[in-house]
Amino acid sequence: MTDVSRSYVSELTTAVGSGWNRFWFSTADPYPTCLLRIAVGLLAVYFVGSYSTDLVTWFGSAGLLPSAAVRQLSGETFGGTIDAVTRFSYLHYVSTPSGLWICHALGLLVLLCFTLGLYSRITSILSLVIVLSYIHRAPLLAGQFEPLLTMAIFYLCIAPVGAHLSVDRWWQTRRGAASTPARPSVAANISLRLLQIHVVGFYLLMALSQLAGETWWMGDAAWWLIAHSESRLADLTFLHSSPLLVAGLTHGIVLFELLFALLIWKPLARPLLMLASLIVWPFLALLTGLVSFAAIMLVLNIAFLSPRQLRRWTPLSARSPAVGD
Amino acid sequence: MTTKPSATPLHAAREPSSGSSSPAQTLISIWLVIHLFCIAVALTSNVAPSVLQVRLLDVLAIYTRTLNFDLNFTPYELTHAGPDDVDHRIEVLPANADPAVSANWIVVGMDGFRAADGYKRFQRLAKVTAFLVDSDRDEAAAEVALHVAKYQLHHAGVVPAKIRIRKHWLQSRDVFRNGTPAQRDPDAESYFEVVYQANAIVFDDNTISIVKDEEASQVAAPDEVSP
Repeated sequence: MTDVSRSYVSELTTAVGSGWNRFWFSTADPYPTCLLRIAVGLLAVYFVGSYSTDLVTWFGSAGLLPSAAVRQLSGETFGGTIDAVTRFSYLHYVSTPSGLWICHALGLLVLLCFTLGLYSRITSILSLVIVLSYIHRAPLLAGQFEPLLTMAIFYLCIAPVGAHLSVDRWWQTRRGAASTPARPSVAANISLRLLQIHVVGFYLLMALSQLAGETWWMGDAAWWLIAHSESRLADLTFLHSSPLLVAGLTHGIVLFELLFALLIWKPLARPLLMLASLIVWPFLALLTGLVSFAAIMLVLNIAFLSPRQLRRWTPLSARSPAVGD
Repeated sequence: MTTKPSATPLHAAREPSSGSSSPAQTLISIWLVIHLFCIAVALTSNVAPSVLQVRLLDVLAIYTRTLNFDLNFTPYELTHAGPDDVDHRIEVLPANADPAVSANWIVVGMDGFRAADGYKRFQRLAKVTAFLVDSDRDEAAAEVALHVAKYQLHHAGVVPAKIRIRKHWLQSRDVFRNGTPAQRDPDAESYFEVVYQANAIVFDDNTISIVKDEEASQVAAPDEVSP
């Protein structure tokens, strides 16, 4: 019995260990991470840029959320004595309009450099600090979009995101320092794996959260989304006469999220789920007005696509051949 | 027809490692395990966390909050999608204006494009303030009201007399089937409920004091739309 147990434990640890190493420490083409850098970078530019119209309104010393008030409110609301540490933001230390505008312009410049792939190693980390600073400056204002954005930038900091489609790559090629295609790397694989797992976690969380609510079970939830007259982008109240369609939409949203979380790992199901997400997310954006959230959910699909497919679809891919091409 | 096992990398991965690990791989593996544990705790605590999850979140806050993995009140279910999960707005009444005329109230920051995040931030501020009121944290709600009043006075050039937070109730399907034309208008006054109202007292030196208007803050929801 002891021998049987010992051999089982040994077999189990070997299998888990080799499976773990194969999953995390294989090498992967960094091309998808580079494409994600551009798409996520553009969304980060949008996110920070969206503060431009109300920068002083929110963050000025006489604005709606002065630093001291936010610290007090977020401490009370989000309950934590270590808030000052965990919610670090350089914007807490700037409150004059000119100071805010200088920080804002520099932040946008860094995010633009990250998007273009200029000094991508440094600008990826700086981009994360910048985006986190805006979120931590006023956590009360954050919605569904922000956690996904920071998650994506955080994982892109790990990967060699300047290996393709970047100013870094162009500059290296010009100097003759990068004549060969960028090599597959373990860092790119870890970055993509973390993105995939985290995105699947989000899908699962969304589906389970919905299933915790009565209206999602009863098929009414889509109606209550439609009824948000201050948020929706399209008025679909004409669906009041089609309860079956409303119920179908409700169940369809939950089903899509559950299926995505469970089946995206299967190559055969992946194209169908990608196609479904191209329908579901724009539709949800119309229904809820959460355009940036829907956009990043679509963008994160890139983490599940193969580099070969992505190269076929992107116009500049000829300049970024894979090893072996 | 066969499918690849789930452990097969999605990205044309090469040189799969053998069972043995280098020290670097071991260190990275330890970080990955801790990281994934933190993510799992943060994600699963989004809705109705248990006592254990709340305790774990506190312990892991230094990591999860710093990197914004701790979602707190982010409604990942998109909405509770119930009749009580509604939009809110902050409104300011200028001095000497009649509070009974709804057109006299200035809606703070809701004039932008509703798909833009700039527009949604004002909605979120209103919703968080309403949440503070619901949680009996009137001082915190008054703090928000004070800054709204100050902003109106110093930047918008409006001398504020009253600040209020209003809930915008949703229309049920029955309203469209059996309601009157007025009931079908989502912006009809009957769909709004005051959850918080305060008087803003502006002194000669332009300092402002906020005093909660208890009566106005306890207006019941309209019968036809209450959940």
